[in-house]
Amino acid sequence: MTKVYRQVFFMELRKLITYRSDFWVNFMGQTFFSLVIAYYLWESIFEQTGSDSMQGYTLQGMVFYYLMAPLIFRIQQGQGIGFASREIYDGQLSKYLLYPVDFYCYKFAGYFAYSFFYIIQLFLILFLYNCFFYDPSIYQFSLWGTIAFLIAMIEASLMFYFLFSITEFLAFWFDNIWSLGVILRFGTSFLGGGLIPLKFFPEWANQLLSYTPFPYMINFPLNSLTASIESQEFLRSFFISGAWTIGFFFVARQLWKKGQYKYTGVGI
Amino acid sequence: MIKVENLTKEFKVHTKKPGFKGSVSSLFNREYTTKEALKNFNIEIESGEIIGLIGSNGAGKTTLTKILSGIIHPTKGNVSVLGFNPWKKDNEYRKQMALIMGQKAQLWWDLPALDGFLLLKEIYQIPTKDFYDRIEFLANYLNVKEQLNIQIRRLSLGERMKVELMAALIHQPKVIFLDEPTIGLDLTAQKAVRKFIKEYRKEYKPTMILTSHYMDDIEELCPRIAIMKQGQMVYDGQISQLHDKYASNKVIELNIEGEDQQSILLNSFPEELGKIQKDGKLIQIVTPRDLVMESSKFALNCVQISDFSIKEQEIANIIEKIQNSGKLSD
Repeated sequence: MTKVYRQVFFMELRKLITYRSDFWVNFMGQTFFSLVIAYYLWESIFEQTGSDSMQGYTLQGMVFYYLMAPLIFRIQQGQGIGFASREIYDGQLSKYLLYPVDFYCYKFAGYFAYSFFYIIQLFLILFLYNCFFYDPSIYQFSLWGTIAFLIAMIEASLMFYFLFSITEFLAFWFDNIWSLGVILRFGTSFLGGGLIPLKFFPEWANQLLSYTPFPYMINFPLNSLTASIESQEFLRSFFISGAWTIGFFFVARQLWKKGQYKYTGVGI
Repeated sequence: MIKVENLTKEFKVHTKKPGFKGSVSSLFNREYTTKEALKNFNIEIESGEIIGLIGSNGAGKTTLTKILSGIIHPTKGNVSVLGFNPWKKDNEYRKQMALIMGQKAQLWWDLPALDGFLLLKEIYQIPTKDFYDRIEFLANYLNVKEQLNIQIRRLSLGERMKVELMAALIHQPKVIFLDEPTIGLDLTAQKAVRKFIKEYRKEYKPTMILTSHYMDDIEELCPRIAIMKQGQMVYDGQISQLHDKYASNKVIELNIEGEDQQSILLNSFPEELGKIQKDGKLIQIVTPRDLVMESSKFALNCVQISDFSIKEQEIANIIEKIQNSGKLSD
């Protein structure tokens, strides 16, 4: 049966590279814009404050952060809002209900293909960054950092997938969950350090956030990549996010089971 | 093979008063109404049989198909297909069943059909040799061999329907639900799909339920039909018996040259033999079955006739009559 999910994974990858222009715009466009906006914004902030470093970030460090954070966030988001809700609304879900496969695994294989595709993009961009702006104080390749990053990234993607599934499956009960998806995405990005580094948050907020799933979505993988996380802290983060992942998995699974009774297969 | 007992399906539907005020009030106070799509519906279908499901929009045909294929759960009632309860979603059942929806695609829009088939090969665990043999057989039969490597989105509607048929049949299902398989297709494509279904049935003998609004599909493929109205069965029987049971009249068509000859017949035809009317050069007599001979004799003796035919009433008209008159099931 694993062959099915492998096939779905490769078909999604094939689909992603079918359209050449979209591939290159997606690859270069988003990264370029993130980089330019981050550079000019933080350059003027550093200039205004007259300091060389803010909360431990130099200007180059900050630009690196804003280059990586959106890429990490994109890896987690996979197919994005609507991967299940859209199919519930237009009745396309019916075809998955006819297949003798596990819908959850089938969808995750497709979701993971997107994540995999964006991980490759991240490493390519990291390589290009190192070619032109190499600074060992900001990022230096290390095997441990890369392995830790991949572990943290897989866990973060799973956690986000199950959390996102919860909102997606609410489509069985509600006529439109788009706004909920947008709020979740914005909230995750903000509380996970995608908009502002978490070091800029007050200490009490960081303490509080450490018990929530959010810092483990962007901050944790990013710190793992730059090897700026102690092994003990890594393990602690790994277990907390693991607990959240399992929790989200069970809630999503229950919603999926109950939701099917509500499904009307509209549109066929 | 397929047994449906007292099947009922209710849908709770949100209603909203018209206008802006109605939209605002529905934000705070939602009103719902319950719609019964199926009411104590019963049917039995033997192994290898094909049955045509007929009914106007909202009659419950698609709801029945969705329940039988396990997509939705019924409100109450029992269903057994191949000995399985469809909505329990047993993988063994799903491997032996297919649903073809004329308005929905299962293949991937951005990839060629062959990529989609390879995924189905894994889903249904089809051995490689069997898989390629089936592709060869189906593609040759449907004449789409050249189209298998083209993106689905670039195929014509007819070609798309053919590859969708291939996708649905590649695992050689024992039960097939066809929901309007010829919808939107041109006449040639409709004929090709019908011909294929006929041949496929001869070869594999699956049990089939066909839903269609096109009478040609039903008449050509289904010896037995079930007519549904508002979630209930109003007729279940052989299509050939429809004329005997529900068409009390036959139609005599006469081609008569010359206005004067036509007028003679129109004015002299006895009322008790049936209704007579003029339709261009053609004179039509709608007469009771037992008076066909007498009516024909009268017309032949009365005027000079260049052409003559006796026809049954159209099936579509009889079905419409049954649907409009309500419960007529035997």
